[in-house]
Amino acid sequence: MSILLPFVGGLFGFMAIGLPVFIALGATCLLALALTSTSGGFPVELMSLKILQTMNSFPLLAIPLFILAANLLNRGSATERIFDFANVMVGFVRGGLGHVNVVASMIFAGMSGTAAADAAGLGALEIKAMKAKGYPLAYSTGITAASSVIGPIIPPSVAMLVYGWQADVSIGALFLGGFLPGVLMAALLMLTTLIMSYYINMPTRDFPKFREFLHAGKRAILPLFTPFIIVGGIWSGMFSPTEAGAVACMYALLLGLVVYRDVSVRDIFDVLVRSMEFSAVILLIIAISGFYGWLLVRLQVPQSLAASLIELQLPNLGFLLILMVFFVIVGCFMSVIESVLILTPILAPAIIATGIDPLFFGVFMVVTLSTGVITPPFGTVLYIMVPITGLRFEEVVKAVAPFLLPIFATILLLVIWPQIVLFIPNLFR
Amino acid sequence: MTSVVPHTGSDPSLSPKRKPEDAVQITYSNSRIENCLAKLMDFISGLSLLGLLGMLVYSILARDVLHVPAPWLEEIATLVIVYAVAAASIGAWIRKAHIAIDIVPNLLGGVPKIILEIMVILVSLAFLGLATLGACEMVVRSANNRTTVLALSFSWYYGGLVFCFGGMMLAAVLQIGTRLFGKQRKSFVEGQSS
Repeated sequence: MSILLPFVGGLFGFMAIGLPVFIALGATCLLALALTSTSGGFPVELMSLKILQTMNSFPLLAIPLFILAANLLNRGSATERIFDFANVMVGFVRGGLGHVNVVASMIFAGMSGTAAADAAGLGALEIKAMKAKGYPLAYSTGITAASSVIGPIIPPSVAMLVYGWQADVSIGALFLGGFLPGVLMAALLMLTTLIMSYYINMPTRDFPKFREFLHAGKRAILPLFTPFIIVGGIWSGMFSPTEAGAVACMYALLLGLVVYRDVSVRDIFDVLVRSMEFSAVILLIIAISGFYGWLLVRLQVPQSLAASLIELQLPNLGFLLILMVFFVIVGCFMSVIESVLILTPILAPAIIATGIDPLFFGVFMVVTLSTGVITPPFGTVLYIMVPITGLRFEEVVKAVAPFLLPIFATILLLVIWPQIVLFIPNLFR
Repeated sequence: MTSVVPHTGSDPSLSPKRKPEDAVQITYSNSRIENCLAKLMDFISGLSLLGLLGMLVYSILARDVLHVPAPWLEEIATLVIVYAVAAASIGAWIRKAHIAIDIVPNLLGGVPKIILEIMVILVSLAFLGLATLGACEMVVRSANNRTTVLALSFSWYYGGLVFCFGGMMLAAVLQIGTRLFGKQRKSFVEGQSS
């Protein structure tokens, strides 16, 4: 255990001075190996070996494909169609566009795997519509940012894919496990909106006519199929998660190029390049984290941690509450995927040793870390909201603060009733 | 290396029409060579991703429609992704789009900030140099280590790592050279101390 402090401390030290995360990870590992090695020197071939072993993994190919699918849908009119559909469905309920915002995010979460895709794609549209209807900007900003947290929870989820691959947990089961917590979070956000609607002015639309229902449904029906294709395809055994990513991309291309004709060939190459760059930044960190994970096991860090935790004899509830606080703090400083990559090899053996279901833990970890996208100082979604809303960073933080309450309530409910996560996967086991 | 605190707050180009991945990108004035290199890397990575998509779609069709499974595609697909990640990483390096957390650099100013920036560049170069060296070593050692279906030498895969780390190292050297000796020297020094 004595190696854990310099190991983790070195990593955070390297990251704090501004080194790119993948270099900070690699440099920490090389330093730790040099310090613990009896032969001395830097075993650089070993690093290459472990990096390639990690990259030579078929499930990881799903990451660029899910990112590409979300970007293709964002480039076309799919987001707009989903928003209009959500507006017809719930826009007339007290709280109006606040509910529309949450429902649209929930639907879009079924197509994208990240919060940033939701905030940047749907966010702009939602803020514009809410401004036009006279909603207070602070409220609009808060609910838009908060609802984007649902993105990495409802399947498909890039963060869950990474956890499943690292902890050797079924990715399909994790995707199913994320569904109810995502719906619960959406319901609590809608409840918050309902309560707030008694204190602030939130205009609603008239109850839509049947023809409007039909029209909006017809416009959105094809994008609405995407989540069913992804999750249904994986669970029916028709294709693997990686192939599901490819099918989602082809479907998004078909919608944009052939059906709606709102995406040009030129757009596609631009989206391909941007998606690949975004994916490469993540995949490079994942590749080096393979070396990091291997080294942790070699230095017996997770095993020692597991033994120490068992000695403490904490009840699972207490243990999860401590982890919840820890994840929220970590989430404030690191992105979800980075945190999952760094923490899974350390914590997974301890979790198994304490008898907590690794499937539940994966969903719990992703949900808790996801709050980091809307907490200062490094919440990515907060920074996306600044140019979209025209508010200052501090104002965005203030606007989001009330919506942290329903999000934390969701996490607490997961800790108290793990069945919220396990119910659907257990139906298919 | 884009910070996790992306410089988007003051970036007017991040309009609502911009894509999500732009949230972690900043525009950066590069030399002509750097821009050309970035464009070339974009072309390779974009094409590779398209190829990867094509391969996966073909693998589904081959298995479910043609009933001729193509297990060899998995080996090619992973090889393609290694090179795609390499090319995109070099492009990301030039555009400073790799994720970094700059808590300390943001707290500093003037000379201490310049010293820290130089330290970061030197540590990065040292790491990339060592990683390239390790990958080169593995290219030689794995010449006879082959994949199961296509009997592809693993040297090709390790070659992707040489391309990745070596390319980023060269890009870093190029950036330092451009900033220190090129036309942008003045703005670099001003940028560091601002």
